[in-house]
Amino acid sequence: MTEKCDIIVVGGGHAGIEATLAAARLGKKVTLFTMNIDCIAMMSCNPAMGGPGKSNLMAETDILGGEIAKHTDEHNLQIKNLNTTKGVSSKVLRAQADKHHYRMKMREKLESFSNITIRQEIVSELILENSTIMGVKTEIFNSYFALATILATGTFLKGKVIIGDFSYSAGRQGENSAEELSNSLREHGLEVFRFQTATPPRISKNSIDFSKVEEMFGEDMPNYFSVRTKKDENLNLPTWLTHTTIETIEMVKKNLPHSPIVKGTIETHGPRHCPSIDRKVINFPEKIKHQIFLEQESLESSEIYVNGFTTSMPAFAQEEILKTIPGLEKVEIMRYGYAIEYDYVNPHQLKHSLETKVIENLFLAGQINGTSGYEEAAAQGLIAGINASKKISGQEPLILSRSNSYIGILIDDILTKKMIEPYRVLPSRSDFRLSLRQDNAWRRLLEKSREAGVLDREVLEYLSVLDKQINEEVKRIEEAFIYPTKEVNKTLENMEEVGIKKRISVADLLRRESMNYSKIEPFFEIKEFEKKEIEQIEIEVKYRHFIAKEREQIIKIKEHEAFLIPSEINYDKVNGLSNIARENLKDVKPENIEQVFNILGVSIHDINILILYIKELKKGRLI
Amino acid sequence: MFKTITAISTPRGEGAIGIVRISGSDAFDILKKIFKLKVLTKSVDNLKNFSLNYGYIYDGERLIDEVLVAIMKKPNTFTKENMVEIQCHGGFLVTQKILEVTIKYGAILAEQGEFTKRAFLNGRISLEQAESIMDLIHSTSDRSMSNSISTLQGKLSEKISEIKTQLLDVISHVNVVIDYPEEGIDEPLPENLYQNLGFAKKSIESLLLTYQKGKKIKEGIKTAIIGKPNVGKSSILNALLKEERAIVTHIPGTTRDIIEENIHIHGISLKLIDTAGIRETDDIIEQMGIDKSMIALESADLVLFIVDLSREFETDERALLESLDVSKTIIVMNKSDLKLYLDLKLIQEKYKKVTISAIQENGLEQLEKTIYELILNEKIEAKMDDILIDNIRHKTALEKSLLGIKQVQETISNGFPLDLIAIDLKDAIDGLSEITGEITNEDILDNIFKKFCVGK
Repeated sequence: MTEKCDIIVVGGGHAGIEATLAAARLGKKVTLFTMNIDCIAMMSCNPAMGGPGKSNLMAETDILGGEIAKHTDEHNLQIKNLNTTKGVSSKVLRAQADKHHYRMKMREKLESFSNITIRQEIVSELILENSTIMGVKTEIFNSYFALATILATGTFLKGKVIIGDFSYSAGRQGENSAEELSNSLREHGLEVFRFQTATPPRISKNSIDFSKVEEMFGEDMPNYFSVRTKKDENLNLPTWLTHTTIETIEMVKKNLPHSPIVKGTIETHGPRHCPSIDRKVINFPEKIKHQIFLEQESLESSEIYVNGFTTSMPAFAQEEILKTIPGLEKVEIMRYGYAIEYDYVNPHQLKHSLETKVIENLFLAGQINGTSGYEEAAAQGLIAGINASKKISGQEPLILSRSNSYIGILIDDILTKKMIEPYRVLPSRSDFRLSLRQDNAWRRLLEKSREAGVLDREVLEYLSVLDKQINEEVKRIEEAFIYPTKEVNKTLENMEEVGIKKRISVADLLRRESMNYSKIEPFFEIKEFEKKEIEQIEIEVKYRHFIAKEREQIIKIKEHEAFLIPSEINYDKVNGLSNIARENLKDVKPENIEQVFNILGVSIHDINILILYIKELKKGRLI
Repeated sequence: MFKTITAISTPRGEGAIGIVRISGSDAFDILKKIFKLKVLTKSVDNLKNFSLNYGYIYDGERLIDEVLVAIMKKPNTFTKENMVEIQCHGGFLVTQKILEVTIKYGAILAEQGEFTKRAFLNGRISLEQAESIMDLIHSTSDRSMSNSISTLQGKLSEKISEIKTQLLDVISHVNVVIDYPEEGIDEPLPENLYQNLGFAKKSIESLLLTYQKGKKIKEGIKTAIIGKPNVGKSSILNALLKEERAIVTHIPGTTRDIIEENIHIHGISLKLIDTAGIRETDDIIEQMGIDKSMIALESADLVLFIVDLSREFETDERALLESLDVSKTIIVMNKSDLKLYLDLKLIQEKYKKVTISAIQENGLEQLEKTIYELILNEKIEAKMDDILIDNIRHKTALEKSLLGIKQVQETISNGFPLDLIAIDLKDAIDGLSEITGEITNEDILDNIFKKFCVGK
């Protein structure tokens, strides 16, 4: 049979869902292919959503019309504030999602759209005409045609599960892998490499001795990921904390000869930010006490995720080692931890729109681009969904930059940097983390969201009004003054505040550590605002000097962005470049100098050479 | 490929020889068109690499000069391109003519510093080395030369990397607890951060302290010799010059009244300015000379105030002495060979003093030693190979870094949280990165993985 739609999405994980929903909300007719409809929106690894960098990604995805933030707000067991003492830019949320509810409700959401068709079929081949994708073929010999196609295949391309000496083809433990599709990608000029990632064992809640572990709760009245969420109460179920002991370390050491990473069964690169317990002991043999979090996966199951215990050691070793951990002496493993190797496409072959440079109208999102993480996948899925829709409507793509979002950083990084491991977003990847906070994502991307067109018009207009009010109020506070009169100082004294000797602005008063918006009332006519408005007003005023400093740095970046690299440049003729810089420049083909700064292996020396060379080129001093 | 460039590489003006230098792929083709070998049996086509060849430069049929031509084939040349150096008779006209011929036959006129730029662009030297080469060319003394050479060898880079590592450790620790809040890694204590920053700050401060010294050494120390007429200024100048005759450079004075000479004392270059004698006068011409002396005096780094031991210390001399900056003045008491008439009590303790006889050349060594110690505020035995910052770009970058560190310390003292500390810290690191290589976020990440066990 053959069928036609606007956009095909391959893969029903966190990237595929966002791509599908974004395209559908933009009015496109979408067909979503999944290998198992019951596994749509499955969280393959831990139940956690958010955390540093990732929280920011979720908030950015949210304002652009994505689903992940709202859905997490609705279906979680706990939300916790992290980094509460490290400054306003570091404050983020982390949720323990209810994996089962998350999955079921997401499927319901997708099914509620009349312009989304869900099909359980394995896509095996791309259909191309003159380097443009026309559609896909599936294993059961069906052909589907669409104007654009988005691949969000996760770990399923030639996926191989490894537990000790045992390995088998699977896209996730207990599920099929897609054995054909990456051959088709290769045939059509995409470079395919392999990465590896791993997940810890799941144990039975009934086998834990809770007297030996520490209960950890989230917030009773949490903040939420989505600016749209209005919720009066939230579940606050515990997770539990325990630690490795000297016996654990000894047991790991004893079993290291069985570890696939020691034996060489696994040679591919895994994420350094998510080291296995084997790797932790190999790299830091002197460290005894590693944290182990026990996290409930759902209200509907008694499976517990053993966070901090990622491993692909053989089954017997996993059990032996777990039993050395306080509280887990009688542990019953329900699913063993395992590693999975999979194919990904060299993301240097992508444009910032996430369309491939090689095949027109083909977009890639999520782990197929070498990234790791639900939030990273969702963000890319959203961008791919928006840009595929725009492309087939003949519109300009939505491009985010390093200076306005973590999504911009994520995409720019994977397009330009050498991938040495599955990519994860982190605050330290940002040069402007004070500006790219989770709390202000809705403000900094308001205009971009208008451009994207996914979010409801009404919501956008409402948020625009709030944004305007915030700006006006900040200005009013900066421009109002208080004078060292007797009454003023008396009031300050009553508030246990230091008195003033000369005129100061209300902003200066608000900048005092102990002050907040409501406390300036005796000196300033305050207004009724929403909670999120007050939060923005306080941050803008309190951190004005630091934010201003960052803005200066952002301007520098804009200058670099304006220094264009002529497309005719031949890097082989720029003698002074180091070999690695030359290879990477040829590979990435940056459009401006700012992009060069982010290419791995390109030093300042190389950049200086390149800038001077381009100047000579423009001056006509080259033959 | 770059176009072939040409330039006169020796100073303009009269000299024993002049050199016209050509660099680029067409260098030998151009040479072939303008150069005829003395020995006609040899051909310009197959001159050996690094050979010096005797012959004549022609513009078509017209002979221009008798020359020696050095052949240097790529890639082992300064620019990593084919290079030719034509050594001709010095003099403005001849070198200019030869330059014009090289242009006529295909080369383009080089811009300032373009040969060094080529060396950089072709990967022969780093930007830092390129700067050092420029400094070397402009250096006027042994000490300055040795400073430029040690920069060439990367001593400064090494020192900067050392400081950078200290800052990198601080920022890694800050980042790791922000990036991985649930890993149980201890937050850095503000007082420890403050202290670690203090080490880096101290290193930068001591580097910056060398700047004034470095700059003086590079440019030469402006030294005014002043005193009343006939106290022996010129004889002191001559005596000092005699010592260093071999390396004296004569710079023609810009006015008839002020004569500048360069001398070297223990590797430092002094620009000696012999001024007109200062006294009350009605003579307009003499007054003009005196005014110039006063200007020279104000801009001088060092003043040698000459008094005559064989005469009374006069009131206007005393007034002049009073007006001088004690910290840059040495009183040179001349004519120790004659009978003492000067009341030594009139010269206060606060001044550095040296007694000499310029005519008999007594006490000159002591004078040199005093000059050196006053300028460098260090003993002569100080090592020649210490790092000196003598480049304004390096200085600015270090200052930026220092300011960054001070702001971080202030931020810490004010009890601001970690993420704000990280912002200022970035400025501090950027400053250092401007001098050498770079720190990218990737480096910071790598450092995190090396130092901390993170991730779940």
